[in-house]
Amino acid sequence: MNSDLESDHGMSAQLSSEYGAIATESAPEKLDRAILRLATQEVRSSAGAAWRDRWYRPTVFVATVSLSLALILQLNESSFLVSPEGVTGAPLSGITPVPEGAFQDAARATSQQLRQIEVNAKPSMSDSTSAVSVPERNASTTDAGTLLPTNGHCSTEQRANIESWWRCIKELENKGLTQFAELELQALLRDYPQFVAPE
Amino acid sequence: MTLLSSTADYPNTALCGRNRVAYARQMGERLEDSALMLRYREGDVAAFEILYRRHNDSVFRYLLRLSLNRHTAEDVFQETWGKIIRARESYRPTAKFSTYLFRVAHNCFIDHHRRNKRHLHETSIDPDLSPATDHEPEQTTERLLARQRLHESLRQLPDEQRDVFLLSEEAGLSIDEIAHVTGVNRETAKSRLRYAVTKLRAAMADTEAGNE
Repeated sequence: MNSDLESDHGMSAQLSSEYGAIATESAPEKLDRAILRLATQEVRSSAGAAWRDRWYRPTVFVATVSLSLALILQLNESSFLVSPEGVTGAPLSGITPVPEGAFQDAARATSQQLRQIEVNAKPSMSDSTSAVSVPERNASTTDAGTLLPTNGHCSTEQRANIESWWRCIKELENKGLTQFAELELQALLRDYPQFVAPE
Repeated sequence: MTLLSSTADYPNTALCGRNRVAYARQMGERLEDSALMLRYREGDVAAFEILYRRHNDSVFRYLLRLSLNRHTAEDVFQETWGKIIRARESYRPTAKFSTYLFRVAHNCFIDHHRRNKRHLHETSIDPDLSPATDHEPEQTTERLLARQRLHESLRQLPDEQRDVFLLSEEAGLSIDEIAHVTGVNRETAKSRLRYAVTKLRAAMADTEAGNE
Protein backbone atom coordinates (compact mmCIF):
# COMPACT_ATOMS: atom_id res chain seq x y z
CA MET A 1 0.00 0.00 0.00
CA ASN A 2 1.50 3.32 -0.93
CA SER A 3 2.43 6.05 1.52
CA ASP A 4 -0.22 8.43 0.25
CA LEU A 5 -2.93 6.06 1.35
CA GLU A 6 -1.26 5.25 4.59
CA SER A 7 -1.09 8.88 5.57
CA ASP A 8 -4.62 9.60 4.40
CA HIS A 9 -6.36 6.64 5.88
CA GLY A 10 -4.07 5.29 8.49
CA MET A 11 -4.23 1.99 6.73
CA SER A 12 -2.14 -0.57 8.45
CA ALA A 13 0.48 -2.65 6.79
CA GLN A 14 -1.44 -5.62 8.16
CA LEU A 15 -4.12 -5.35 5.49
CA SER A 16 -1.48 -5.32 2.79
CA SER A 17 0.35 -8.26 4.24
CA GLU A 18 -2.88 -10.24 4.67
CA TYR A 19 -3.86 -9.45 1.12
CA GLY A 20 -0.38 -10.45 -0.02
CA ALA A 21 -0.85 -13.76 1.76
CA ILE A 22 -4.02 -14.62 -0.12
CA ALA A 23 -2.93 -13.16 -3.46
CA THR A 24 -0.62 -15.91 -4.54
CA GLU A 25 -2.04 -16.80 -7.93
CA SER A 26 0.23 -16.77 -10.95
CA ALA A 27 -0.50 -16.34 -14.61
CA PRO A 28 -0.97 -19.75 -16.25
CA GLU A 29 2.09 -21.09 -18.01
CA LYS A 30 0.16 -21.64 -21.26
CA LEU A 31 -0.69 -17.92 -21.34
CA ASP A 32 2.94 -17.01 -20.69
CA ARG A 33 4.02 -19.12 -23.65
CA ALA A 34 1.28 -17.76 -25.92
CA ILE A 35 2.08 -14.13 -25.09
CA LEU A 36 5.83 -14.50 -25.44
CA ARG A 37 5.29 -16.27 -28.75
CA LEU A 38 3.07 -13.44 -29.91
CA ALA A 39 5.69 -10.90 -28.84
CA THR A 40 8.33 -12.70 -30.91
CA GLN A 41 6.07 -13.05 -33.95
CA GLU A 42 5.16 -9.38 -33.88
CA VAL A 43 8.80 -8.34 -33.82
CA ARG A 44 9.59 -10.65 -36.73
CA SER A 45 6.67 -9.46 -38.81
CA SER A 46 7.45 -5.83 -38.11
CA ALA A 47 11.10 -6.48 -38.99
CA GLY A 48 9.87 -7.67 -42.38
CA ALA A 49 7.72 -4.60 -42.74
CA ALA A 50 10.62 -2.40 -41.71
CA TRP A 51 12.78 -4.00 -44.39
CA ARG A 52 10.08 -3.28 -46.93
CA ASP A 53 9.83 0.31 -45.76
CA ARG A 54 13.56 0.90 -45.59
CA TRP A 55 14.81 -0.92 -48.68
CA TYR A 56 12.13 -2.24 -50.95
CA ARG A 57 10.40 1.04 -51.74
CA PRO A 58 13.59 3.12 -52.14
CA THR A 59 15.06 0.37 -54.32
CA VAL A 60 12.01 0.38 -56.56
CA PHE A 61 12.13 4.18 -56.71
CA VAL A 62 15.83 4.27 -57.62
CA ALA A 63 15.36 1.55 -60.22
CA THR A 64 12.49 3.45 -61.82
CA VAL A 65 14.46 6.70 -61.92
CA SER A 66 17.53 4.94 -63.34
CA LEU A 67 15.56 3.25 -66.10
CA SER A 68 13.82 6.51 -66.94
CA LEU A 69 17.14 8.34 -67.20
CA ALA A 70 18.61 5.57 -69.34
CA LEU A 71 15.62 5.78 -71.64
CA ILE A 72 15.88 9.57 -71.92
CA LEU A 73 19.60 9.38 -72.70
CA GLN A 74 18.97 6.72 -75.30
CA LEU A 75 16.33 8.90 -76.95
CA ASN A 76 18.64 11.92 -76.91
CA GLU A 77 21.45 9.96 -78.51
CA SER A 78 19.22 8.64 -81.24
CA SER A 79 17.89 12.17 -81.92
CA PHE A 80 21.44 13.27 -82.92
CA LEU A 81 21.53 10.61 -85.57
CA VAL A 82 18.48 11.81 -87.44
CA SER A 83 18.05 14.99 -89.46
CA PRO A 84 17.21 18.22 -87.64
CA GLU A 85 13.60 17.72 -88.50
CA GLY A 86 13.57 14.30 -86.93
CA VAL A 87 12.05 11.14 -88.18
CA THR A 88 8.53 12.47 -88.07
CA GLY A 89 9.34 15.66 -89.91
CA ALA A 90 8.57 17.81 -86.89
CA PRO A 91 11.33 20.23 -85.86
CA LEU A 92 13.26 19.04 -82.80
CA SER A 93 13.36 21.33 -79.85
CA GLY A 94 16.66 23.13 -79.22
CA ILE A 95 17.78 22.93 -82.87
CA THR A 96 17.46 26.06 -84.99
CA PRO A 97 16.23 25.13 -88.45
CA VAL A 98 18.44 26.25 -91.35
CA PRO A 99 16.66 28.78 -93.61
CA GLU A 100 15.51 27.36 -96.88
CA GLY A 101 17.99 28.00 -99.74
CA ALA A 102 20.96 28.57 -97.43
CA PHE A 103 22.67 25.41 -98.62
CA GLN A 104 22.30 26.38 -102.25
CA ASP A 105 23.68 29.90 -101.55
CA ALA A 106 26.64 28.50 -99.72
CA ALA A 107 27.36 26.00 -102.49
CA ARG A 108 27.15 28.71 -105.12
CA ALA A 109 29.52 30.96 -103.21
CA THR A 110 31.98 28.15 -102.71
CA SER A 111 32.05 27.20 -106.36
CA GLN A 112 32.72 30.84 -107.28
CA GLN A 113 35.50 30.99 -104.75
CA LEU A 114 37.05 27.83 -106.07
CA ARG A 115 36.93 29.11 -109.62
CA GLN A 116 38.67 32.23 -108.41
CA ILE A 117 41.33 30.18 -106.72
CA GLU A 118 41.92 28.10 -109.82
CA VAL A 119 42.35 31.20 -111.92
CA ASN A 120 44.81 32.61 -109.47
CA ALA A 121 46.66 29.36 -109.04
CA LYS A 122 47.31 28.53 -112.70
CA PRO A 123 50.01 31.10 -113.40
CA SER A 124 51.78 30.44 -110.16
CA MET A 125 51.76 26.72 -110.79
CA SER A 126 53.57 27.27 -114.03
CA ASP A 127 55.99 29.63 -112.39
CA SER A 128 57.52 28.00 -109.37
CA THR A 129 59.05 31.20 -108.13
CA SER A 130 55.78 32.95 -107.70
CA ALA A 131 53.64 32.26 -104.76
CA VAL A 132 50.31 30.62 -104.97
CA SER A 133 47.77 33.01 -103.79
CA VAL A 134 45.22 31.38 -101.66
CA PRO A 135 42.47 33.80 -100.83
CA GLU A 136 41.60 34.39 -97.23
CA ARG A 137 38.58 32.57 -96.17
CA ASN A 138 35.55 34.66 -96.63
CA ALA A 139 33.32 34.48 -93.62
CA SER A 140 30.21 34.94 -95.65
CA THR A 141 31.00 31.99 -97.79
CA THR A 142 30.82 29.46 -95.36
CA ASP A 143 30.64 26.97 -93.04
CA ALA A 144 28.67 24.73 -95.24
CA GLY A 145 31.25 25.00 -98.03
CA THR A 146 34.28 24.46 -95.86
CA LEU A 147 35.41 20.96 -95.12
CA LEU A 148 36.64 21.05 -91.59
CA PRO A 149 39.63 19.00 -90.51
CA THR A 150 38.78 16.00 -88.43
CA ASN A 151 40.79 14.26 -85.73
CA GLY A 152 43.78 16.52 -86.28
CA HIS A 153 44.39 15.69 -89.91
CA CYS A 154 42.97 16.59 -93.27
CA SER A 155 40.71 14.19 -95.04
CA THR A 156 41.26 12.74 -98.49
CA GLU A 157 38.65 15.11 -99.87
CA GLN A 158 40.45 18.06 -98.36
CA ARG A 159 43.73 16.84 -99.81
CA ALA A 160 42.13 16.52 -103.28
CA ASN A 161 43.29 19.98 -104.28
CA ILE A 162 45.78 22.47 -103.01
CA GLU A 163 43.28 25.12 -102.01
CA SER A 164 41.14 22.94 -99.74
CA TRP A 165 44.25 21.36 -98.28
CA TRP A 166 45.70 24.75 -97.46
CA ARG A 167 42.37 25.80 -95.96
CA CYS A 168 42.40 22.68 -93.81
CA ILE A 169 45.91 23.50 -92.60
CA LYS A 170 44.79 26.99 -91.66
CA GLU A 171 41.83 25.53 -89.82
CA LEU A 172 44.16 23.30 -87.85
CA GLU A 173 46.28 26.30 -86.96
CA ASN A 174 43.26 28.27 -85.94
CA LYS A 175 42.25 25.43 -83.70
CA GLY A 176 45.65 25.46 -82.06
CA LEU A 177 46.65 22.13 -83.57
CA THR A 178 49.93 23.55 -84.85
CA GLN A 179 51.83 20.27 -84.83
CA PHE A 180 49.21 18.67 -87.01
CA ALA A 181 49.19 21.74 -89.19
CA GLU A 182 52.97 21.44 -89.59
CA LEU A 183 52.70 17.81 -90.56
CA GLU A 184 49.97 18.57 -93.05
CA LEU A 185 52.04 21.43 -94.48
CA GLN A 186 55.02 19.11 -94.90
CA ALA A 187 52.80 16.62 -96.68
CA LEU A 188 51.43 19.40 -98.86
CA LEU A 189 54.94 20.53 -99.77
CA ARG A 190 55.89 16.97 -100.63
CA ASP A 191 52.98 16.70 -103.04
CA TYR A 192 53.23 20.27 -104.33
CA PRO A 193 56.89 21.28 -104.01
CA GLN A 194 56.27 24.48 -105.86
CA PHE A 195 53.64 25.60 -103.31
CA VAL A 196 54.39 28.80 -101.51
CA ALA A 197 52.30 29.66 -98.53
CA PRO A 198 50.46 32.93 -99.04
CA GLU A 199 50.90 35.74 -96.56
CA MET B 1 3.96 -3.14 -1.84
CA THR B 2 6.57 -5.66 -2.80
CA LEU B 3 4.61 -7.99 -5.00
CA LEU B 4 5.85 -6.47 -8.23
CA SER B 5 9.55 -6.83 -8.19
CA SER B 6 10.90 -9.50 -5.92
CA THR B 7 10.69 -12.84 -7.66
CA ALA B 8 9.36 -12.26 -11.12
CA ASP B 9 12.20 -10.31 -12.64
CA TYR B 10 13.95 -13.00 -14.59
CA PRO B 11 12.65 -15.35 -17.22
CA ASN B 12 12.90 -19.03 -16.40
CA THR B 13 14.86 -21.54 -18.36
CA ALA B 14 11.80 -23.29 -19.73
CA LEU B 15 11.10 -20.37 -22.01
CA CYS B 16 14.50 -19.31 -23.11
CA GLY B 17 18.10 -20.45 -23.43
CA ARG B 18 20.78 -20.03 -20.78
CA ASN B 19 22.55 -17.25 -22.60
CA ARG B 20 19.37 -15.28 -22.91
CA VAL B 21 18.70 -15.75 -19.21
CA ALA B 22 22.12 -14.38 -18.34
CA TYR B 23 21.61 -11.48 -20.67
CA ALA B 24 18.16 -10.86 -19.30
CA ARG B 25 19.47 -11.01 -15.75
CA GLN B 26 22.06 -8.34 -16.50
CA MET B 27 19.55 -6.18 -18.29
CA GLY B 28 16.83 -6.62 -15.69
CA GLU B 29 19.07 -5.31 -12.95
CA ARG B 30 19.76 -2.11 -14.78
CA LEU B 31 16.76 -1.13 -16.81
CA GLU B 32 13.47 0.44 -15.84
CA ASP B 33 10.19 -0.81 -17.24
CA SER B 34 9.90 1.98 -19.76
CA ALA B 35 13.48 1.40 -20.94
CA LEU B 36 12.68 -2.27 -21.43
CA MET B 37 9.57 -1.38 -23.39
CA LEU B 38 11.58 0.98 -25.56
CA ARG B 39 14.09 -1.78 -26.20
CA TYR B 40 11.27 -4.09 -27.15
CA ARG B 41 9.98 -1.42 -29.49
CA GLU B 42 13.37 -1.61 -31.20
CA GLY B 43 12.93 -5.37 -31.59
CA ASP B 44 14.55 -6.75 -28.42
CA VAL B 45 12.30 -9.66 -27.42
CA ALA B 46 14.42 -10.51 -24.35
CA ALA B 47 13.63 -7.06 -22.94
CA PHE B 48 9.94 -7.75 -23.33
CA GLU B 49 10.32 -11.09 -21.61
CA ILE B 50 11.81 -9.42 -18.55
CA LEU B 51 9.09 -6.81 -18.54
CA TYR B 52 6.43 -9.47 -18.89
CA ARG B 53 7.87 -11.54 -16.05
CA ARG B 54 7.85 -8.50 -13.80
CA HIS B 55 4.17 -7.78 -14.30
CA ASN B 56 2.40 -10.88 -15.54
CA ASP B 57 1.33 -12.23 -12.15
CA SER B 58 0.15 -8.92 -10.76
CA VAL B 59 -1.89 -8.19 -13.88
CA PHE B 60 -3.37 -11.66 -13.77
CA ARG B 61 -4.33 -11.36 -10.08
CA TYR B 62 -5.80 -7.92 -10.70
CA LEU B 63 -8.00 -9.27 -13.48
CA LEU B 64 -8.83 -12.43 -11.59
CA ARG B 65 -10.07 -10.59 -8.51
CA LEU B 66 -11.72 -7.87 -10.54
CA SER B 67 -13.69 -10.24 -12.76
CA LEU B 68 -14.13 -13.00 -10.16
CA ASN B 69 -13.99 -15.41 -13.09
CA ARG B 70 -10.90 -17.33 -14.18
CA HIS B 71 -11.89 -17.66 -17.84
CA THR B 72 -12.65 -13.96 -18.10
CA ALA B 73 -9.39 -13.14 -16.38
CA GLU B 74 -7.45 -15.29 -18.85
CA ASP B 75 -9.21 -13.79 -21.87
CA VAL B 76 -8.70 -10.22 -20.73
CA PHE B 77 -5.12 -10.98 -19.70
CA GLN B 78 -4.30 -12.16 -23.21
CA GLU B 79 -6.10 -9.22 -24.75
CA THR B 80 -4.21 -6.79 -22.53
CA TRP B 81 -0.76 -8.09 -23.38
CA GLY B 82 -1.74 -8.41 -27.02
CA LYS B 83 -2.58 -4.72 -27.06
CA ILE B 84 0.67 -3.83 -25.32
CA ILE B 85 2.60 -5.85 -27.89
CA ARG B 86 0.79 -4.45 -30.90
CA ALA B 87 0.98 -0.87 -29.65
CA ARG B 88 4.72 -0.97 -28.96
CA GLU B 89 5.51 1.17 -32.02
CA SER B 90 3.47 4.02 -30.59
CA TYR B 91 4.63 3.57 -26.99
CA ARG B 92 5.97 6.77 -25.42
CA PRO B 93 7.30 6.72 -21.86
CA THR B 94 5.20 9.65 -20.70
CA ALA B 95 3.95 7.89 -17.56
CA LYS B 96 5.02 4.97 -15.39
CA PHE B 97 4.83 1.74 -17.41
CA SER B 98 2.70 0.06 -14.72
CA THR B 99 0.15 2.89 -14.96
CA TYR B 100 0.00 2.39 -18.71
CA LEU B 101 -0.22 -1.39 -18.37
CA PHE B 102 -2.99 -1.36 -15.78
CA ARG B 103 -4.90 1.27 -17.69
CA VAL B 104 -4.90 -1.02 -20.71
CA ALA B 105 -5.93 -3.95 -18.50
CA HIS B 106 -8.71 -1.90 -16.89
CA ASN B 107 -10.05 -0.76 -20.26
CA CYS B 108 -9.88 -4.27 -21.69
CA PHE B 109 -11.84 -5.55 -18.73
CA ILE B 110 -14.49 -2.83 -19.12
CA ASP B 111 -14.83 -3.62 -22.85
CA HIS B 112 -15.00 -7.34 -22.17
CA HIS B 113 -17.58 -6.77 -19.43
CA ARG B 114 -19.77 -4.71 -21.80
CA ARG B 115 -19.52 -7.31 -24.57
CA ASN B 116 -20.29 -10.28 -22.34
CA LYS B 117 -22.61 -8.85 -19.73
CA ARG B 118 -25.10 -11.70 -20.03
CA HIS B 119 -22.57 -14.48 -19.87
CA LEU B 120 -20.58 -13.44 -16.83
CA HIS B 121 -20.68 -15.78 -13.89
CA GLU B 122 -18.64 -15.76 -10.78
CA THR B 123 -16.42 -18.74 -10.16
CA SER B 124 -14.42 -19.74 -7.15
CA ILE B 125 -10.94 -18.29 -7.19
CA ASP B 126 -9.67 -20.57 -4.47
CA PRO B 127 -7.01 -18.48 -2.80
CA ASP B 128 -4.07 -20.05 -1.05
CA LEU B 129 -5.27 -20.29 2.54
CA SER B 130 -2.74 -22.81 3.69
CA PRO B 131 -1.40 -21.86 7.12
CA ALA B 132 2.18 -20.91 7.71
CA THR B 133 4.09 -23.54 9.68
CA ASP B 134 6.21 -21.24 11.80
CA HIS B 135 3.37 -20.07 14.07
CA GLU B 136 1.57 -21.54 17.03
CA PRO B 137 -1.56 -23.54 16.04
CA GLU B 138 -3.83 -20.91 17.65
CA GLN B 139 -2.21 -18.06 15.75
CA THR B 140 -2.35 -20.07 12.57
CA THR B 141 -6.08 -20.57 12.89
CA GLU B 142 -6.62 -16.86 13.50
CA ARG B 143 -4.63 -15.97 10.45
CA LEU B 144 -6.49 -18.47 8.35
CA LEU B 145 -9.82 -17.06 9.45
CA ALA B 146 -8.67 -13.49 8.82
CA ARG B 147 -7.64 -14.40 5.33
CA GLN B 148 -10.93 -16.14 4.63
CA ARG B 149 -12.83 -13.04 5.83
CA LEU B 150 -10.62 -10.77 3.74
CA HIS B 151 -11.15 -12.95 0.72
CA GLU B 152 -14.92 -12.91 1.17
CA SER B 153 -15.03 -9.19 1.91
CA LEU B 154 -13.04 -8.49 -1.19
CA ARG B 155 -15.51 -10.48 -3.27
CA GLN B 156 -18.41 -8.57 -1.77
CA LEU B 157 -16.96 -5.13 -2.39
CA PRO B 158 -18.64 -3.07 -5.13
CA ASP B 159 -16.73 -3.37 -8.42
CA GLU B 160 -15.43 0.21 -8.35
CA GLN B 161 -14.11 -0.11 -4.80
CA ARG B 162 -12.55 -3.49 -5.50
CA ASP B 163 -10.98 -2.03 -8.63
CA VAL B 164 -9.22 0.82 -6.81
CA PHE B 165 -8.13 -1.44 -3.96
CA LEU B 166 -6.60 -3.93 -6.41
CA LEU B 167 -4.87 -1.17 -8.36
CA SER B 168 -3.39 0.04 -5.13
CA GLU B 169 -2.31 -3.41 -3.95
CA GLU B 170 -1.34 -5.19 -7.15
CA ALA B 171 0.03 -2.30 -9.18
CA GLY B 172 1.22 -0.13 -6.29
CA LEU B 173 -0.37 2.92 -7.89
CA SER B 174 -0.89 6.23 -6.11
CA ILE B 175 -4.29 7.91 -5.79
CA ASP B 176 -3.54 10.12 -8.80
CA GLU B 177 -2.46 7.15 -10.88
CA ILE B 178 -5.54 5.17 -9.85
CA ALA B 179 -7.70 8.14 -10.84
CA HIS B 180 -5.94 8.21 -14.22
CA VAL B 181 -6.35 4.48 -14.77
CA THR B 182 -10.01 4.37 -13.81
CA GLY B 183 -10.89 7.63 -15.54
CA VAL B 184 -12.30 9.39 -12.48
CA ASN B 185 -11.15 12.42 -10.56
CA ARG B 186 -8.77 12.21 -7.62
CA GLU B 187 -11.40 12.69 -4.94
CA THR B 188 -13.61 9.95 -6.32
CA ALA B 189 -10.70 7.53 -6.46
CA LYS B 190 -9.67 8.47 -2.93
CA SER B 191 -13.20 8.07 -1.63
CA ARG B 192 -13.60 4.65 -3.25
CA LEU B 193 -10.37 3.45 -1.80
CA ARG B 194 -11.27 4.75 1.65
CA TYR B 195 -14.56 2.82 1.59
CA ALA B 196 -12.85 -0.32 0.38
CA VAL B 197 -10.14 -0.18 3.01
CA THR B 198 -12.61 0.57 5.78
CA LYS B 199 -14.77 -2.40 4.86
CA LEU B 200 -11.84 -4.76 4.58
CA ARG B 201 -10.36 -3.64 7.88
CA ALA B 202 -13.74 -4.01 9.51
CA ALA B 203 -13.98 -7.55 8.20
CA MET B 204 -10.59 -8.38 9.62
CA ALA B 205 -11.45 -6.69 12.93
CA ASP B 206 -14.68 -8.72 13.15
CA THR B 207 -12.64 -11.86 12.84
CA GLU B 208 -10.30 -10.75 15.61
CA ALA B 209 -13.24 -9.71 17.82
CA GLY B 210 -15.03 -13.01 17.19
CA ASN B 211 -11.94 -14.93 18.23
CA GLU B 212 -11.68 -12.99 21.47
